[in-house]
Amino acid sequence: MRSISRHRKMVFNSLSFLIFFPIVVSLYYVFPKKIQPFWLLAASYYFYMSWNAKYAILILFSTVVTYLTGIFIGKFKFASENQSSKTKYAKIFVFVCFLINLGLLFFFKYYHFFFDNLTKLFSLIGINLSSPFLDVILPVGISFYTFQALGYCVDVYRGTIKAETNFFRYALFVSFFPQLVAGPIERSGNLLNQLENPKPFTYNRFLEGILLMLWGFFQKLVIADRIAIFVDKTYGDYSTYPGTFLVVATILFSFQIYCDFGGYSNIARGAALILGIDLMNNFISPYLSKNCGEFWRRWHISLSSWFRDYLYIPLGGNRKGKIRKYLNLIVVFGLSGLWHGANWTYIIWGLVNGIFQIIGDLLKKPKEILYSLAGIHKNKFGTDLAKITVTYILIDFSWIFFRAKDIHHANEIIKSIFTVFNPEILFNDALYNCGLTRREFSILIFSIMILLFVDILNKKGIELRRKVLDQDYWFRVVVFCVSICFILIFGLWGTGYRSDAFLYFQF
Amino acid sequence: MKKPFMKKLLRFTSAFLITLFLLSMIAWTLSPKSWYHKMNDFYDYPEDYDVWFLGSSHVIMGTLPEELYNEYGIRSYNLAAYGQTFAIDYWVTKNLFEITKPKLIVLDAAQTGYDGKYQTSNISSIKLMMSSLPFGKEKIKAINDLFDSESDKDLKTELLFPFASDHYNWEYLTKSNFHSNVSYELGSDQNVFDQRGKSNYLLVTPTIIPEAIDVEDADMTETVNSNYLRKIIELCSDNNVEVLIVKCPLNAAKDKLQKYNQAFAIGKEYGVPYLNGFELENVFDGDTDMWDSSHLNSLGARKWTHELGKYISENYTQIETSTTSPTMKKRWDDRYENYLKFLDSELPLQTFFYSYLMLCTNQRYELDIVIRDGSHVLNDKVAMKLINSCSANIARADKNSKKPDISITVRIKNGDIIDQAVYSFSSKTVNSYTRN
Repeated sequence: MRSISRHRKMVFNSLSFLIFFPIVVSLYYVFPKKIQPFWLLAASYYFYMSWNAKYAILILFSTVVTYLTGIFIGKFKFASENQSSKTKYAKIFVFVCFLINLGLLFFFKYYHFFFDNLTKLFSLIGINLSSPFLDVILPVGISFYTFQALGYCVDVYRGTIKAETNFFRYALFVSFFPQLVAGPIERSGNLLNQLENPKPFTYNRFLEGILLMLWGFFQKLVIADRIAIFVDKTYGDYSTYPGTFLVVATILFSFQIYCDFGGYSNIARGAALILGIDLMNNFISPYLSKNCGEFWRRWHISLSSWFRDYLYIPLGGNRKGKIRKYLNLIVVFGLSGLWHGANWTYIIWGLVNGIFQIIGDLLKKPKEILYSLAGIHKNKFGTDLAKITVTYILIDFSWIFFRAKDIHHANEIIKSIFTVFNPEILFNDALYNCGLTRREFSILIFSIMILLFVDILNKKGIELRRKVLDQDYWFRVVVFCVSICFILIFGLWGTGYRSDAFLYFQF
Repeated sequence: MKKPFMKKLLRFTSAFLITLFLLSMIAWTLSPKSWYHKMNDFYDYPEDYDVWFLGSSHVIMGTLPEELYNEYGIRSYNLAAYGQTFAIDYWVTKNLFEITKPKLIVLDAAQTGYDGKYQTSNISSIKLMMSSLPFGKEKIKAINDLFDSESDKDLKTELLFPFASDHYNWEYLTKSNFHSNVSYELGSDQNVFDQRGKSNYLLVTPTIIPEAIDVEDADMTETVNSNYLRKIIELCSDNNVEVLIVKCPLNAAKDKLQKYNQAFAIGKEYGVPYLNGFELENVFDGDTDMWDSSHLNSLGARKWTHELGKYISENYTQIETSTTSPTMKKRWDDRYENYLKFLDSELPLQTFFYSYLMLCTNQRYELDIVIRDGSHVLNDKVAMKLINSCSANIARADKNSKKPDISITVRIKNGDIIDQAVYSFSSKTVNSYTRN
């Protein structure tokens, strides 16, 4: 199965998007209210078809199936007579809907992974299985829009939301272009309501959207793409860059994935805000979490909350005893890992995080005893810093699996980290031979400092962009000017650089 | 409600313009100024140049507009670049015709046999020339025509939108990003002065220059560049600009000579004359005139420039050799003065013996040379040829004296001493010895 086509066009940091978006926004606000959703729908499909026109049929198919499911559920479940049999039919519709959509997801994303592993399993017992090779391109965003649409079906089934009867509005909900290819996975209650009642243009919202987009571009172009050069080089040749090189690379990778994915999410949120839509915040200072549980309430919030609401809680959550709770966590995190990609590394990454949560839960009481014995007080700066550091180390360790290309690669990286002791590279120029010069490193470190500063403010409830927008006009102009210039000068874009490498597009 | 909206619109527009201005300042700072070094004089006073020289490295190194002006009063500019093909020559010509037109274009035949629009080994040079062209319809056409394959996409983006690659220059900012480096060579590059002091880098490479073959003995296989040669000739004809096709001498195999003859034959189809450097007798000396086997050094370039000037002044009487206005004359005289100062300041920085001697052959200088009897210099054919090419008073010192092998005092004729150099040789291979 091929991953994303090399001929991607409409990524956020591409020239085509920079032309597309202003046109969409301008015409959106020029068109009358009745036409606006159709315009957005057309723009969203155009955006998606710029990746691969054929797979628009797929998203349309998913849209029709889930739309009809919603209608049927609404008809059957909430009809006044024969409630139990109608509920039974509603359940069947949900089941079939899940089967179809997850079936498509399985086919496009997991077919070869499944059959390759099945083949290996059968070969262990001497049976040679051959599965037909299917050359299919993974449709971009399929994991995202599938989950978004399925979430809608469940919401309708649960009665959280009424079935959407306007097909075009529903189609826009599934395909809304800012969040179509890499999230956030929106909840029907949030997005559908806003699509039904579009907000008029306001200057402040426009500026806020621009600021969010600029922040996203800063994260992606200045930080994430710069780190990628170092990480690709070191992880790609771990025998030449052992030990501390890989430690540095793994630390940097944690910022790469945060800024790549977080950057995309912020650009998506900013673009949506300009169009009058509030998308959920997908990341809230994740690396300032004090435990792994908190990390998963701050990281990829749309996905973790989706799994919580549509899988973990239906499985029983933490209501059926500790053993069941831990089992549920393993299932949820294992599937969350699998959602990220058809590779054992992702599954292990997910399971490792699940295990961390279990261990964290098991150690809760012993920790409290230890704290009281040692006179350690909660919510003190030192304690918090220690917790944040330990949590970060654990999460960063799990990123090794996420980044490695396979289990063997991950093992080699871990082995090298723990067996090769070469911290002297931090004090000589060795780090500057890994694709980034000293100056590039300086810009990177400086940018990461800015990122952490903003994250600290966010954690304290201070949204820097709102503070900027509250200032006088010329101060705002300076901020915008400096931001744009900084991104254009220090960002990795233009010739010699491929703009299509948002990490999460492969999911 | 119109006033607040207008106020906001005005503010937004002013902020946008300020950002744009700031970005353009940054873009200018980050842009490499190498094209300015080559083209500054041309764009400052495009009407000053009656003759344009176009071609590749053979021309950029072998044709000296300042010497041409000094000797013949011909006002010219060297628009050649390293690896520049006829395809690029065509588009450079077409673009510059939007600004001004010369009376004569001199085309070097070197690239006739090359079957590609541009040489991938000379991308930086191509970028330099293309970057120097003013942005407009013709430049876009040029870029689209020259770089039309999928693999050229990045290069095309860079040329159409230089900031896409220039912005990475923040890491390499130097003084030249803030102050443009001016050249005094009117587009030529004797490729001497930047290389001074580099080990084993000689400006004199004894080379065999072959004799001319019969001009009818031509390889008429059409190539991309032979087609563009035709296009240049037709373009010039449409714009009433004369054309001359030339070839400076170098070490070339027969197949190359046959391709040069193709260029002459193509010119003949259009009634365009040619000057074949290989046909010139008793002019060039392969021992002393070559920078390497393919390029003339400063001495060879002066000789070739002299021949070009002689040909042009005899055959193109419409090329004015006297300036039309006092201001233009002053500009040219100032340029030449600056050029001479440039030569005089660079000469003392030359270290290798052959290179030093070769530069001293400039008839501007008068030398006092003392050679110690028994010195290896006396047995070195090339060194003695170079010494004899200089305007020099040669004296001998006693073999047993403690004087160095050779001491050279260089003064500007009827002027000051600008340098003194002394060499001692412990072996007979004297070419790359550095001064004491």
